[in-house]
Amino acid sequence: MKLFAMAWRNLRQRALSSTLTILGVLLGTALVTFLWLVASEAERKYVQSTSGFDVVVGPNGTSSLDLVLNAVYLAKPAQGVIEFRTYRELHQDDAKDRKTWGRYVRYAIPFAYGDSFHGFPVCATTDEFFLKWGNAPETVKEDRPPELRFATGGPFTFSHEDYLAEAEVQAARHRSGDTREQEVPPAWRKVVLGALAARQLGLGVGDSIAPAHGTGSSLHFHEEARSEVVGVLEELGSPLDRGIFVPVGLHYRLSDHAAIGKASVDVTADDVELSAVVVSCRPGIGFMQLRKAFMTRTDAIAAVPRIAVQELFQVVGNIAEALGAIAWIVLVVASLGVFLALYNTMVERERDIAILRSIGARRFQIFTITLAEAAWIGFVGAALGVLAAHACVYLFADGLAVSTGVPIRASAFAMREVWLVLGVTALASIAGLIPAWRASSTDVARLLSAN
Amino acid sequence: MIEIKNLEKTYTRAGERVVACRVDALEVAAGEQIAIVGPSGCGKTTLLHIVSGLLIPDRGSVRVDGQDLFALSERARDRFRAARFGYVHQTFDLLSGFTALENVELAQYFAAGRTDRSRAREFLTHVGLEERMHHRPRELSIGQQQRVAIARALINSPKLLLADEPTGSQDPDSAKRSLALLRSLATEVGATMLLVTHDPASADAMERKVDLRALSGAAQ
Repeated sequence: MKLFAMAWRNLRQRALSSTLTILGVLLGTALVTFLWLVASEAERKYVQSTSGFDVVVGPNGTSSLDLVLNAVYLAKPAQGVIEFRTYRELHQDDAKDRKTWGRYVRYAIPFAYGDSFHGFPVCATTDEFFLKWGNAPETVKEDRPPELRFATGGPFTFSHEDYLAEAEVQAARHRSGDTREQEVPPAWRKVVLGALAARQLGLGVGDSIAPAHGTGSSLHFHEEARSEVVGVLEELGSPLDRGIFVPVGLHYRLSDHAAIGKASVDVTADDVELSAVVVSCRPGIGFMQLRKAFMTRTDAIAAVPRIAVQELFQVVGNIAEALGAIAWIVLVVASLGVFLALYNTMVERERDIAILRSIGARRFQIFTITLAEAAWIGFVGAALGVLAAHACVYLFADGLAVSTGVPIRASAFAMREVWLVLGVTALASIAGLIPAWRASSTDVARLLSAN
Repeated sequence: MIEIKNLEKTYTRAGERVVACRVDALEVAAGEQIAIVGPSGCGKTTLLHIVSGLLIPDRGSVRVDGQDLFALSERARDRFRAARFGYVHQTFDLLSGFTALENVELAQYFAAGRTDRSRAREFLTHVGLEERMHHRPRELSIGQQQRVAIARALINSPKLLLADEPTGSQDPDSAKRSLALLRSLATEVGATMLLVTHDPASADAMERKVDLRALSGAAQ
């Protein structure tokens, strides 16, 4: 029987005390792992989620971060509006036309936000979102957004041309001062759900929803626009999984939604408002050119999500570090628990130690056995702690995805977790040094005489 | 086998020096089985601890099998004890978290750095515990626990068997049987036996009986 096996047997003999001590280490390690997992996965996912969002053009007066949180992560309400003319200007696809944005822009997709359904954001857009998103040419190797694939059903139909026509309709309506409820064509009462939204809401193709406007007591369901779910997207691992996508035409037909905010009746389709335009740029410096151009404009700003996210994580990183420091303190306290657990049981184990010495155990063997007990506590507690953290992330994956805006993978084991387990084992072993020394110094003759 | 000269161990109590054990001279031949007798507190157990190398005397020498015990380093003395001594305590002192078999194997491990399970089984069978090998001490009777302790003490075929009141907690009949077993096994493995006891019957059963008080010029 090896010394480590003897140490393990000793721990089993004092099952309650050992379990409680292991639990202390487990909690500390689980906390560290959980913070690491959520922070690193969130950062990775946040950066990854910017794929396909080369530039977001949104209302002037908004910060880049607010705009990105709204348009990319669907985590914040829209902070204002931009005009249809900006969208039309960006929606150019002639790469050879040097007079337009066509030479830089691969596609531009409009979004209008404002409604929600049971906490999930409703994103009004055109069908180009489904048709062009993720369909980057093969020459674009990096930062390709995930392809939008349907788990069930398919997209709704509402094209760019439909949007142009609807903008004209809304402008004419504004000019005529018509404030009556608008009819919503049945073809527009179609909804596509992100994977997480569908799962959390328990909805599938064939079900129907009524988007809601406002929050809390002012929440108003647009029953006039109850729409049928026609498709559910496959899981993307991005904030889009939380989205509920509707035709942008539907957005303008809902009561409480003014397509044009201006009081003046002298308006055109270009005055119709939307929340943001998501732009995918051709490879090269297009996104920087776009950003630079919008710096001097007053109608809208252009944010580069990748840059905004890096700025965000410079702030969040400090908070994560502070939380990490607390977690390490918890681990040190847990190690102190290992020390106390071993030291306090020294009196009851002195007799056993004396017997072992009388049958030939050397001092260093007694030292090793006691140190091995501390190491076992550290190792088992840390290993279970890492597993517990992953289990927590697995169990609360959907809740975390809703609260962080990005899905966190429970299976994302990192090499540093192995180092954490080894580190905690070493820490516990250090905590066991004094008890081990005391054990090895036991006065055998005194104890054996106390018969 | 054992040669003790001018041995003295003292301790201080309430500022006064108290002699715990004094032996001017004692020799025990190889294979001999002797009893050390004397009233409680006369230093019998202290003598046993010194002979086993667990307690260091203030002066004097103890030679076992030709080796001066206290000329050895503590580590070497530990190895010497593990390889050549067997020890039976008054309360048998089995490790409660280990089975009878494991208790015996531990003695093998500390003596040789490895265990020999078949020999341990054989030995336990020899002392009549073939059905109890996988029982823990609390699941064994006093007599069975003592037999495990005897098996543990003799599993490495020690040259010297030290027994500290091994029948102290038994009725006279059981004590007689236990002592007979201990003696016969000691003879079987060729061990010299040093028994400490205050039980006259046990002492009389040994080959030689020595009163500790008679071993020194001064009164204990």
